Amino acid sequence: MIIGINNIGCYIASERVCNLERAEKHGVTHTFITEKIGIASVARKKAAVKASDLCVLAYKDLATRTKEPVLDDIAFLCVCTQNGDYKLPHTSAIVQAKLGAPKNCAAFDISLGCSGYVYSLHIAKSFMESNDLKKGLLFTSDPYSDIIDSNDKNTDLLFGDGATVTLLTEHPVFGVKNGTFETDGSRFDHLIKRNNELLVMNGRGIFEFAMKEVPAIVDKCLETNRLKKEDIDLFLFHQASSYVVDNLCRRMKLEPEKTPFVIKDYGNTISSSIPMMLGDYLEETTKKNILICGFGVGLSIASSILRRR
Amino acid sequence: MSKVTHEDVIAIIKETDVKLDWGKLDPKESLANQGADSLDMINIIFAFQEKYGLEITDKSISDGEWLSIDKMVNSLNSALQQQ
Repeated sequence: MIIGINNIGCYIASERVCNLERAEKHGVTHTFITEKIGIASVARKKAAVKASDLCVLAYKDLATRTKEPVLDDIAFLCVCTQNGDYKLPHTSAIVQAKLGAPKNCAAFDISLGCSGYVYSLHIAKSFMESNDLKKGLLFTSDPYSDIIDSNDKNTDLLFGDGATVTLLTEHPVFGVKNGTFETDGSRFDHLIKRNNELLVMNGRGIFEFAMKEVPAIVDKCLETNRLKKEDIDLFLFHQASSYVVDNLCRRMKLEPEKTPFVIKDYGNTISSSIPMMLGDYLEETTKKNILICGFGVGLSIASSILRRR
Repeated sequence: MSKVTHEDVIAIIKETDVKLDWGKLDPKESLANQGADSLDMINIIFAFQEKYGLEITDKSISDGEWLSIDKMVNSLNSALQQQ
């Protein structure tokens, strides 16, 4: 049994906060916001809405996309988050209850940030295949608005709230090939929310990590899968900011049309940024090989190849 | 190693794709006053690190040692001499 991606549901919080209106407050120009950060507005959930609620809303979107009932025989449910509803229990248990998923369903959380989707996809695939679980739901939901300092331009203008759910089955649209995974824990404090404090980001540190490590891990991932850059139809990089994606594209000499940047209207949604993009390509059959790469909190980085079946 | 020149520094900055008015660039004036924003400065500093194998500290940046082309040339030569 080979498990892969069958479908993807998404939810982006409906309220928008305009970054241009906050340019003066943060001491930046409109040009800086539109051309460098590339995020005109960020999506914000209401304060009472929790990570599990975003998951349920993403599932509702999935349910409208699938032609057959999803929930009845779900045997696996996983939430990738670092801002779950509570410190304990795990948010996936809450999501299982809110959805009314069956009891005979494995459920656990994965604590990772921007590299989380790639990691979680491989963990879910391995877990399901080794335990003969035929249908699973992989959620990403990391509402950063709960931990952002509204006076910090480094983070307040970047992060948006949203969630995704990936339906994993033995009848996939995309198969998941070999992944590559790396960690630089020596820089753990470059993106950190210490206990009882708000999120702090060392923008320079994150930029340098991305510029140095992403090209290297992409090469390694291609080599592991015996592919060349020319074989890849799309490079879906974590949507950190326009500046990061543009500079990765320039440094790696990739064609800009193969490296989309799509978060202008809602912001960086952490582990949801890659599946949100991927959802748009499920039916675009010209895209055969897609490279995905997530990087951030940890500092952690992961890359993998998705092959249309 | 031969000394880093103004031309070397300008060539490295051009490779980063930072948009500056190259014809009117004043080497004594801070790049921030000539069109470079905070992300551009991060990109430029990273390019120096990569090119010369240096580690440029946050302190040296906040102390203003990398503000202008002149300062960049001096800071690079000083750092390379200490290597």
